[in-house]
Amino acid sequence: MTSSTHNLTEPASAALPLPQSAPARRTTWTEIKTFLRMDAIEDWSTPNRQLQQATLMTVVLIVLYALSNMIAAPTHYFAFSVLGLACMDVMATTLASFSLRAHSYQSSGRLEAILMAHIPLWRVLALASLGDVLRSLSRGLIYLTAIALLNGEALTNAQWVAASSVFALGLLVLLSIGLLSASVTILLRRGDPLAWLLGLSSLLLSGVLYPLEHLPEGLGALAGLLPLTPMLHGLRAALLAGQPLDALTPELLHLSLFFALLAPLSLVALLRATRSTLHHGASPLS
Amino acid sequence: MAVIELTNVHKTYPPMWGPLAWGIGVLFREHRDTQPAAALRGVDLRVQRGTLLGLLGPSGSGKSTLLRIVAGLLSPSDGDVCVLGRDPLSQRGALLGQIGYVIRNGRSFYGHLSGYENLRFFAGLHGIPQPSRHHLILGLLRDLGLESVANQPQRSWSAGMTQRLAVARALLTSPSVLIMDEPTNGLDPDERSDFYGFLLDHIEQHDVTVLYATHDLNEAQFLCARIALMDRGQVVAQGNYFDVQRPARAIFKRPAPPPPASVDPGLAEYRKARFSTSDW
Repeated sequence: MTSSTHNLTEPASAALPLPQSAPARRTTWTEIKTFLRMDAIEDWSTPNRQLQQATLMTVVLIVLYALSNMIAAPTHYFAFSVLGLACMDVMATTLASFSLRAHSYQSSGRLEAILMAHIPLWRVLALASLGDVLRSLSRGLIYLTAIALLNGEALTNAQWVAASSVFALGLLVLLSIGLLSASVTILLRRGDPLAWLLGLSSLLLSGVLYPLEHLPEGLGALAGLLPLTPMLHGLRAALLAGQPLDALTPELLHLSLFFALLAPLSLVALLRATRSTLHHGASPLS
Repeated sequence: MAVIELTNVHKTYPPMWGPLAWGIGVLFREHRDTQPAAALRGVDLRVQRGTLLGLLGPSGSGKSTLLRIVAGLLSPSDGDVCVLGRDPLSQRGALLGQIGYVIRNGRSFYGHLSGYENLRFFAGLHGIPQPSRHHLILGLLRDLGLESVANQPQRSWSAGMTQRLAVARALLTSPSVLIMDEPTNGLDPDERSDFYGFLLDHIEQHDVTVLYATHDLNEAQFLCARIALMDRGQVVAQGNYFDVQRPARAIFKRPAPPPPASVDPGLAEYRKARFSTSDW
């Protein structure tokens, strides 16, 4: 009996009454809670990893503190470099987490399992990385506390509103890059090589550990193409040099330009990725 | 009344843009198709309420693609798909929770979470209310014989246990349509026998419609009263085991093995009574 023998003349059935099931009570907040709870259990079940992270942070802080006292570093070098590290941490997290989570969710079939709950792809990608981003922000707060404790005089004239504005805008730019990177990963079904290139070049060229003035001329110009550069410059100006919000207009404009370019780009990439999951499937097995 | 209806369904995976495929080849040494790949070629299928239809076919015959299309995870290139009278893609919201999908990939769970926590996570995403969630999960774990390991991290589980957990996940929303992609992969004969009993009981008690993909002729013979034989993206034969036996043998190029010795005779009787040929 072949498929052609089926009774295809029978009219297609109308929408059948759906059986009663337990009423679904899902909100964005319950989705956030569900993912954060899962992340918290992961943290709790991997104490060694948390210990390693804490040890690494402590060692880095001690080394930077010692360096800032030993060498003829610029004024408040400890605060300068720790702020750089905190921002680099956030950037590395957004770049790596979004891309890696997207890749691991796709290759493990977890993405398909979650999409069965009718959650849009962009929300899955954002929620999957939410815990990592929050952890990175917490580490940023710890770094800031370390500056206040060990190099408190550097923050005497800090302009917190200006710093928060720069940081918020910078974070939006970094999240856009993260979503873009995750979308590229979904589209290519591979880790995003551009994300790693961007992360490495930011570490070397954005002035994370040394002032931009120390870079050769050509590389200094390249630094302006990296979003971490204006973010770091603005944050240091607000926190360490005590510059008010209006003095940070160039950095805010620079970041806004990045956001204006990257936000639509990441949206387009997300739409393409969503379409791709429907055409190619959400799993590499398709 | 047909719960699942596929009419002339085609699926062709679009190719990757040539220069991009070349770039991936250079960077990652991975081959990407630059030609469209036809996975389904005019599939017609109907599955009646409360029945189990076996999709039998070798690897690459299009079974998983077809299941994903029915689950609303993949768009067909052409043709009509109806699940409970609705388009599973454009009317996914209406079908939320009505389709359970048993994914073949055992890594689709969070390894560091226990089986219970994994189910709790997916129940949360489905919006299953808190008061009933706990009892629902415990009941499913008990029914699938996973109660004793429920609090152990899933990464320490055997493949068979993980596969049963995948079934529990698919049943969280009490779906009326169950799509199973080789759910007995990794199960030993005793586990298979228990699983068959559970599945047949579940169909009986909850009037569930099941689309069951397998490449095991033996399993299809035992479990499925009706079988659709797939090969190279087409349903080449359909009917009971005896209808598809000959073409299936030709496709698999090996004689059909005898029924599993481990199958509980009582269960076989039960199956025979449940799916007597008079049903068809």
